[in-house]
Amino acid sequence: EAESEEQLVVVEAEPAVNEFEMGIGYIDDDAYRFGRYNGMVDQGPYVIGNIKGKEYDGDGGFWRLRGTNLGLDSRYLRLDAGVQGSQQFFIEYDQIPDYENDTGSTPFTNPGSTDLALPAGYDADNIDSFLLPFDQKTERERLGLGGKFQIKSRWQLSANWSQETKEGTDWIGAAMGPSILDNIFKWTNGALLPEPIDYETNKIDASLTYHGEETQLEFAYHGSLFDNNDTSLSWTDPLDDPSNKTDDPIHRPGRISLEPDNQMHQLSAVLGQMLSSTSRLTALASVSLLTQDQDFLPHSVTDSDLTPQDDTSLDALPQRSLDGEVWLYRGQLKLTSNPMRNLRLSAQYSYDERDNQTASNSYTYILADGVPGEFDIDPPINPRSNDPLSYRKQKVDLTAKYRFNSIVSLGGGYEYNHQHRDNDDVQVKTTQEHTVSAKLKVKPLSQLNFDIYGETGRRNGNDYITRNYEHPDLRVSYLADLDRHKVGATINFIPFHRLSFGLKTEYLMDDYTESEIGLRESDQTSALLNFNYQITDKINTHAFYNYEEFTSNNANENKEIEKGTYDRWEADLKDSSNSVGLGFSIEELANKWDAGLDWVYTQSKGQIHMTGYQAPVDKITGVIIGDFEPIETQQFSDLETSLNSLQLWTQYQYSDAVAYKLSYWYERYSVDDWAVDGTINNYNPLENDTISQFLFLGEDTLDYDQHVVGLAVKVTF
Amino acid sequence: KGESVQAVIDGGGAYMGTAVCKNCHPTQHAQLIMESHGQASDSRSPFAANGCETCHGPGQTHITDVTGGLVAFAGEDPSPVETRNIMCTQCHQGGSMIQWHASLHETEEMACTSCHSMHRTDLAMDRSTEAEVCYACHNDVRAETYQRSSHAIREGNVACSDCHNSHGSNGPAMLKQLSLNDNCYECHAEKRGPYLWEHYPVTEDCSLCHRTHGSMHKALLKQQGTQLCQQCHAQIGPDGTGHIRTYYDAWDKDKKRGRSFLGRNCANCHKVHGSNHPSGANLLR
Repeated sequence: EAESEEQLVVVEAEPAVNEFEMGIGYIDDDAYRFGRYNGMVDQGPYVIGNIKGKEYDGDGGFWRLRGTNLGLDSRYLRLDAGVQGSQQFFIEYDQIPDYENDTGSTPFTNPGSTDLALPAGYDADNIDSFLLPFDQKTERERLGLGGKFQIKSRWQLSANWSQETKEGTDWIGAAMGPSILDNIFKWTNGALLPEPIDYETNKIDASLTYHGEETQLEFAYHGSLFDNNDTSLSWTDPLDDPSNKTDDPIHRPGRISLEPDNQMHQLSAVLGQMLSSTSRLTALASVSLLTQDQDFLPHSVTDSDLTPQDDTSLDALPQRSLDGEVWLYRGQLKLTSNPMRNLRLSAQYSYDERDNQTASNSYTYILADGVPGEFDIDPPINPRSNDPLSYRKQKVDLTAKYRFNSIVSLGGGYEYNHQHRDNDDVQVKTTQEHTVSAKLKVKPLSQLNFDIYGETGRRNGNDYITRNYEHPDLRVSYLADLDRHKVGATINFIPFHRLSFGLKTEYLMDDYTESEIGLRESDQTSALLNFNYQITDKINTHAFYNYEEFTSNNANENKEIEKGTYDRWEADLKDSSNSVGLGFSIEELANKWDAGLDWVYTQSKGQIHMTGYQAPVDKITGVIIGDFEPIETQQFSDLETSLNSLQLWTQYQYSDAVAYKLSYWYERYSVDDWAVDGTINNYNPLENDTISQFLFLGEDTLDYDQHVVGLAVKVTF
Repeated sequence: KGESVQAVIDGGGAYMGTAVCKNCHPTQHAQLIMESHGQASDSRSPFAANGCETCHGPGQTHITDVTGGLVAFAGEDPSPVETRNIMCTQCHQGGSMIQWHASLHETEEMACTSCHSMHRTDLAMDRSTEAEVCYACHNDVRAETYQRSSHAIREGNVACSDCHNSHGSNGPAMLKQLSLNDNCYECHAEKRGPYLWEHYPVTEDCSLCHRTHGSMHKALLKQQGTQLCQQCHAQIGPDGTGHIRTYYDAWDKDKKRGRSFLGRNCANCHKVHGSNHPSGANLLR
């Protein structure tokens, strides 16, 4: 009894649960990419700050505090407090930077503005002397508040609000300054422009839940209100009009719409009901309203003589704003049952309808703020009418799993997906997909289990409608007929409870059976090896290897009747990546030291191999009059990335309350992307010549070789 | 509910009370009273009922035979997964657990305690550490977060639970929202529209073009930009030729077309997520 009393005293002395870590770290070099999301972009010292703490008063009263990266731009802080079982509140702050690239440049003097300005005396033929650096960087900040209230023993009311801002400068691409000959469009210039980002999203969540032994209910409202403080981006074309190369070149103005304000409101009800001790029903009903009513911009910033209207006037629009309205109706019904101890069954039906009630109207299509596009073709496709997308999806999912004995179980399923699209501008209105699957689980030993699984499915659509000016043999990949097969296996081996090995491998094959043009086939292969060994209660080790490979084949054709040739190409794409990682952690070495290591190396390669074919074409009839012969092969430069990341740390427990932590982080990253590297504004590295009608940002992909050390004191109390 | 929990109760003998448990397990008790499960003042808490024995079952048998009687959630010889989970789901059936039955993790016979810890720091409940719990089985996802483009997962700014409900959900792939796109719009509300000019595959499914955990390509794209677009686009203009369909639109010796595959490739000119500009039919505005 005395011993029990003594232990009781020990228990009542609460374990240390509050912890404060503060120190200083040092980053050895400027590295935008390294600090992309963590904020460690500048060489020099930074503050290490982390905190966590909590307390219960024994009567349900409590608070919990959690803060991470407090000295960086990626800081997070949250405080929860209240009386458990009665009411709880929280306040939360979250900051996420996105440092994308700091090597870009632009001739505009005011990146981040909604009205981009060229400098005085600007000369497009001497563009390099006018380039100014600009950083692609945005930052999110989110403040959240909320509370939960136990209004009756089984009823809970909760309400949360959050406001997130996203500010900074990103990029946007735009066609501009159309080249005009005899009032007809011939070609456009284009540029990547600095895009101002000034978003605010407010979210509101409220729910009422009932939690009974047999019945659970949730009634919820979710609102999301997005505001973009910038409605458009204007500029003057930084490139000369190629059709008017005079001493006084023309630089045409342009304006692009930015993301429109929009709102989403959703009501939902969810029911969970135990029908018996072995059967359960869940049901969902939800309705959402999406709205968007941003004021339209005029058709163009310049008026075209080819249209009867003033294209710069809002009066020329059929309406001043979209008044967009989309209703989403969702329903689900799921029944699960174990009619026998060894048999598990589930059946689910899902309904998902998008009812787009946005009005369809005709809009004059002014290409790149210059000339009406495609007035000169037969049939004309100007003006254009928007065709809002509505659809209905239905899904039936049946699964069964039978355990023959303690060693073998077999599962299987059937899934049926049906989708109908109501609008006329899609190539396939109705698609349906049947998928059957099976999985065999075997556990011959208590230490060993393995699964083998497979799946085969087929997607078919109704008649494919080729849209105007599409290649007749094209099948849009997401609507195309498709045969899909998947096989996989997992093995887990646990020789004893401290040691485990795992293997998981999977192969997926997609065959687009009717596609001659577009995506024709794609395969995915993956393999994952896992190893975990807990050497002692205080020493853990782990390692993994992961391989992924994606291959696909695209094809396309181009008939050049005037040249008498019919060109066809096929692209074989292969993306592969290898990742390996290992680590260990040691606790309480000599009762004083903790230590850990975590290392990951990832390497990936993207390859595109092109093969060109050509067949002769009758220049009069356009009919192919010979066989396709391979004429050329090309290999794009490989896209290569690698990342080598090593983190080491050790902690010395100086006293019960104080510990010192020393950390080291080395990371080396490199990427070679031919599409970006060396694309210096209007310079094309591939041909060592200029792309005369496009202005890039002249950026490079960002490599780094980074060392970070940190020393902190950790106080527990 | 009922029979299996009742079987545990029947097999354990009489309830002994938390004070008895504490005599031999002081550390576990001390840790638990600093967690939500240990708050006797909350009628929903195990400590408002039979304390430790609410979850572990009556302890009388365990006292006479230390190897038996109780539901063991961890250690070398834990109780069967089904038994362990029944003890948890006797309370946790609503809220985020409402779709647990027949969810992926439940079907795979995952134990609640495969991820959660009651008597030590529950890494799964801390957004800065929860990914480590998920990586125990999903190291392939971990590997993807080290790719060229990824959400800020390995930096700890984005948690797995920001998108997924590991207990099952009404959405696909255990996503928290009712559709994949709804999930994406939670952070990318600017892409929600509805736009005047929709890009239909974007409206239907973000994952047609984007991966979610990591990609070797920019912006989590599934392929190099131009080739990705060419999966669906092969135009023939009125003169017989067309935009991004010639061999040289993919590998161009005509410099004018280099803009189709350099830089941001098709997005050099096109707003691929949709346009709200009256002249945005071709997504150029």
